[in-house]
Amino acid sequence: MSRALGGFELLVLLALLHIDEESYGVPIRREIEDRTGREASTGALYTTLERLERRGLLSCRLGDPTPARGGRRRKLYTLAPAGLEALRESYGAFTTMVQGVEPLLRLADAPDGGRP
Amino acid sequence: VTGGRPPLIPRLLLEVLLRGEEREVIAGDLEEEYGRLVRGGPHAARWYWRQVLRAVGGRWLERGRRMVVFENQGWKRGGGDMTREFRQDMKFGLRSLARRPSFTVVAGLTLALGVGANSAMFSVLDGVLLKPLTYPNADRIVRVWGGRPLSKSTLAAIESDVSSFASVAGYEQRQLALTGVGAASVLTGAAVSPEYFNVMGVSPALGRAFLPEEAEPGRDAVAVLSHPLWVGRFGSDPEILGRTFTLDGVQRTVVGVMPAGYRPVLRPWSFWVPLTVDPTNFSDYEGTAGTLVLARLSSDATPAQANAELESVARGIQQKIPDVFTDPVVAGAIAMPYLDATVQHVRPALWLLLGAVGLVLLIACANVANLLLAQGGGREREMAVRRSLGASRGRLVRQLLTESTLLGLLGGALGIVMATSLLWALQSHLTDGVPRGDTVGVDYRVLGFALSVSFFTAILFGLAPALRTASADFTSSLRGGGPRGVRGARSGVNRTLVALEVAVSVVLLAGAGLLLKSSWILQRVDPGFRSDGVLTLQLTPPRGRYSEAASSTEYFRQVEERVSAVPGVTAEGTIMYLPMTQTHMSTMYTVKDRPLSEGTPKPFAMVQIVTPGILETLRIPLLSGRWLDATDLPDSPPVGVISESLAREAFGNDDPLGREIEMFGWLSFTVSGVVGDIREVGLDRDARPEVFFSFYQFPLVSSLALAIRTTGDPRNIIRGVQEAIQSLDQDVPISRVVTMDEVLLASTSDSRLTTLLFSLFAGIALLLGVVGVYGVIAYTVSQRTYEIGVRMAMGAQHGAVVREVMGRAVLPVGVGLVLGLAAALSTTRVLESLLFQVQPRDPAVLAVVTSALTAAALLASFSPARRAASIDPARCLNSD
Repeated sequence: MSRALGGFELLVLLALLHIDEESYGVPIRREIEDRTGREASTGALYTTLERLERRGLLSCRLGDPTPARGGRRRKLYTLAPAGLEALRESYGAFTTMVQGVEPLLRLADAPDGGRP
Repeated sequence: VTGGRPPLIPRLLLEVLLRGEEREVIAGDLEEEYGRLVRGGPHAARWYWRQVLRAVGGRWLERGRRMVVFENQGWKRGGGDMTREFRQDMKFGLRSLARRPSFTVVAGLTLALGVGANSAMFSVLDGVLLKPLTYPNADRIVRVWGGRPLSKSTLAAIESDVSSFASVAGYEQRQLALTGVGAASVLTGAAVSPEYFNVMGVSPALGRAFLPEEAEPGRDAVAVLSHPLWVGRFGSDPEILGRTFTLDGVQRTVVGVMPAGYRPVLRPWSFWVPLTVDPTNFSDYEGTAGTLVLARLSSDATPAQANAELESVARGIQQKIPDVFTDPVVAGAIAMPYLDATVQHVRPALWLLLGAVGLVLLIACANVANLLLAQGGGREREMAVRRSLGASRGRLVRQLLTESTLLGLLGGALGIVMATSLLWALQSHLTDGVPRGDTVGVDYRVLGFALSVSFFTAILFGLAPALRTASADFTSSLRGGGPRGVRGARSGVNRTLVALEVAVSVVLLAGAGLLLKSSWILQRVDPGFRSDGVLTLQLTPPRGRYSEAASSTEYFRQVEERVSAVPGVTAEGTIMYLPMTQTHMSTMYTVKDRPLSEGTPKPFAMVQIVTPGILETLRIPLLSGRWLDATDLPDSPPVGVISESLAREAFGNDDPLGREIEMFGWLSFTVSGVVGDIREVGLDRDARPEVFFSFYQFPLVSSLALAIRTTGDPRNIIRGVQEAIQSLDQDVPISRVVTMDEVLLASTSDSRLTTLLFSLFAGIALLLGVVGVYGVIAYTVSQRTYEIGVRMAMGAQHGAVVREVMGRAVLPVGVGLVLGLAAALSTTRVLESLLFQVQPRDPAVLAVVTSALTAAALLASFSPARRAASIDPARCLNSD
């Protein structure tokens, strides 16, 4: 698991942490969209989920079919210990890298950050 | 979620393009979110579309990436999965086919018929029409062709005036006697312009081609040998160059030997001699049109440019010599790619046959699809089990398709065997009747064709049943018992296929019926003479030995005398060109004292040179006046006998006897008699106006056909006749010994081959159609055993059940007949050029075809119907 997490992978894993109830495709996608303001495609989301699952960073199980889904089942995801570890690692790398350059980042962020 | 379902098309896209769990979760998510969004407004649909396209595209990209890229053990896993799955499917398919041997055999043979017939037809088409000629830059070779040979003066005009041609050559096929090298025999070869070798782009392997001056009369005593002749007759003599041998009684020096691989397009020539051109000899140079012209386009010229130039050449010739000789042929002469010119007359028939055989394949596919559907009924449980164990629908479809591909390959392999045998059976027809026919064979192109046809058909017949079987409602299948009623949907597909088969069969049978009727009529055409009981052979006295006209006439006089003494011979005569042999001479004529009005083209008449005995031998009726006889000699007044149609054309209602006709620009003769018309060119062509001259008065030719009438089988006198002829002169070769009946038969071999093949294909179509109807009805009965049993138990009458079951066949067959008739009415036009005195919409043929198919279909449904009626209610009801 030495490979660093990609940007979207990071977002997906963090979204899982945010969600309290059952986390499956719909809430994960919503979480990312709501927080980042970026439209995320379901296809891309599942491609990433599958990749993370294969890397053992999350685990999943099939849920029950619901009428709202046209009788289809959900796939429920939970963060695996390795996933949490990977997040920590990424966070650590990120904070180390950010140290000392926060003011610059704030500056660069200014036009956006200045928005109410 | 009424009203909340996402748009249909993207939803179906998801269904079709994604698999398994992936499909379930993605489609589920999107549907759930769409349900919430829809209240938000109309942009929901657009959002859904966008999401679906991105999902599908992304997933497929990912799938592709995972197959190609090393990612963890992604390559091994992804690739391994695919191969393992494929190998599994193959193994499973083979086992499944082996488990059902009767199905496999029937389906395999059906496909073999289709693929075999198609591959055979394709190899003929490929070998004859598609494969390029083997000469260097063969696409630059054109034939200058107006439907008939040209005169040598026209050849000269084309040579000098058409700049689009890099080289131009004339050739005339020659049959000449080879003597002094082994037994005397007749060789087929050609007299060619020295440029011939440049046009073909081939030069002799040994020695040289002809020099320009060798085309002058008197300097032409040279020859180039074919490789087989050099090997066979001259023992591959390395010192052959400069050696002399006797051809046509003339000593010729060998100057070259052609390469082993070289062969002219139409028939293997044994020798080449120079075609002499003598502008001072009017009759030979301008008065005879017997030269065929080939040319090689110069590097920057197009056929269209050449044609424009040819047209101006034609105008020039007409202005130069308007009265004496106008070559009407050159006016319509066009430069046509050599390959096209060689094969154009068989092209329509070959494409037609390939089309017909394609339809046969379609029927075969429908049949196999029907079989698979019926099989599918029995496999629903198997599929249901596999699905409930987690196999996806796509996985099952892929597996079933692998199975049908295996079946297709089996059919393809058998089909190639069948194609090879079909070609073998047709070999003699192909060699004699079709240009380039002898080069036809099964090669890698044909194998490739058969393979692709097999794959294509496997998908064609396998896809629908696979989809249907794999998506069968598995809960009801698992619940056991199986269906007891009629499977509405499946029998609907079955019956559609039957209707299709019947419709296609109607089209093919109608075509075959028309061709058969046409050849039936053709065989009953009166050729104008009696061919039965007549033996014919060609006598070619070497011109060197019989150079004097007197010696030649004396030879034939004595031959006739000796042959008449052979037991069984009742009449004999000689003729320049036997009727129906595709060679004839024609020339323009004018009636004396009847000038043609300005601008009228001069009419043409065919010329025959015969000995008097031919009238009795061929039993040509003398209508008026007197026939040629022994008194017509070189020093007596020239006479000719004209045919009925020439009498009508030249003299109308006037009495032609005693009138004078002029020909060749130098000959004027008196009409002494009128005979009945002979169809010289072919049974399907009207008789042309014709003049008969006596060989003893006009000994203009050296090689003549001898016709001998006998009381019994003409083949019985062959030996006696040959001995009688050879007793006169050992060195005169006898060739082409055939009965006149055979000559007649050979003249229609082209159309008979087409008719034979088309009928064969239609027969296969009918057979497959009947099997199809039988299969579907039998299947319906087997599905309804329970229902019929119940009805029998309730007191249904035997006859009523038979009628009811057969009635099931009526609708699809009826629909098929109507569709087929409509299709036949609109498509049989393509046969028009192949039909003789039969309309493409001949009502009698269509009526016969319709009733025959109806009868066959009823017959096919009768046996399962009877089986249905003999169902024992007690047993059938207890069995469940």
